[in-house]
Amino acid sequence: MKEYRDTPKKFVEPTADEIKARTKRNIALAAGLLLFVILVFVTMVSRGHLPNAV
Amino acid sequence: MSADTHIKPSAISDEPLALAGAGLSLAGPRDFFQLMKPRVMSLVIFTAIIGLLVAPGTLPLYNSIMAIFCIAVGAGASGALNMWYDADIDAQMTRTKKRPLPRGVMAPGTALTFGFLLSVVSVWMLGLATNYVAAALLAFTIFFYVVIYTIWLKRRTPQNIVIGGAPGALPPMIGYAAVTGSVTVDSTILFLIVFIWTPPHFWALALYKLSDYGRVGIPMMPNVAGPKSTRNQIFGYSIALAAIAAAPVITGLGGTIYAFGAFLLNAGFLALAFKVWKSRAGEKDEVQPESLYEVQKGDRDARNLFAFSIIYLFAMFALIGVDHLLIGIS
Repeated sequence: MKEYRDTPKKFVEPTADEIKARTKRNIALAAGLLLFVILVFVTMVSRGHLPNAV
Repeated sequence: MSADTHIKPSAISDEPLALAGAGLSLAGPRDFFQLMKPRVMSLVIFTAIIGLLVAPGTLPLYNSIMAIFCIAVGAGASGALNMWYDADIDAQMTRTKKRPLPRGVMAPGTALTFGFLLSVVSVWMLGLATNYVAAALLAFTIFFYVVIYTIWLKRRTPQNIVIGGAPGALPPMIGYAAVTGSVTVDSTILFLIVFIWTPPHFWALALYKLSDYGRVGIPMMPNVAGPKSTRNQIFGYSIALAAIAAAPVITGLGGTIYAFGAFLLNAGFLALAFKVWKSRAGEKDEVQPESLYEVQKGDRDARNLFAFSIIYLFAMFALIGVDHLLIGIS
């Protein structure tokens, strides 16, 4: 028996402004996460928690 | 909250939509920064730096910067959570209606997630960079501001900003604890200076900006107890503030420069508070046409005290910092 799937046919197109805002948010999010990773690493090293490789 | 930037109900038909319920927000990084109340953050950063500076002991430069950064982010997180909860009343007040949530560029859930994530990250990072006493104080600050002040007290009692002033007063204590890992008499004095300063500072503002708070049902002291009682309390708190300001001289937290500067600043504060006490500030409803000028003058007194109170707090902490630096040099 064929499985019924309600296939979407309509899609909401984001406006140019929405895409621009999303791109900015994504870049800020990536930069924030990168900063966070660096800060955690440097802070741990500053407190004497050296990674095994060092 | 419905927002222009989200999918409109009319766009949803019987046909399933791949993006139904999603939609893209227009909020950019600037809106997220605005969510963190940058102006409040500047005071937090400044007082936290002074707390960190005057604490006995040393903290490496990197850890000090991290401590201030985490305290600032923690304060920003509180601001974001505050804006998430207060979006309904923010939309009705002139001063706050241009915030990202009332403007509809950001979904409430986004602000909540942002505030919650920043809270966790800032507390955890502060613990990692300094110690867990400072981290616990920061966690307490965020909890107090969001739960005790914003959710519980703000809409229920005219004492809202008195008790709610505590989180605003904690940053210097957190800065101090970041170095010492403890809460001391000196750090409590720093806390008390900001704590006792808060009621006259905000009530002076509320005296000449009554309508906004009243319209949205926030029980500020002038709306509930009346302008006269508020003016009395402003003067009472100003006397208490002058007494607390003398404490650093007794404990040795402040030296000669502080003593001299604090005397002048508190004399100025008391003089302006006295003028407010004698004025008719906040009594717009009882205005008779012939006494219009007098009332305007009264409002000016409240505005002058509000403006001076901002300079006062920055100057008081600057004096403590300068005094400490000079003692360190000599």
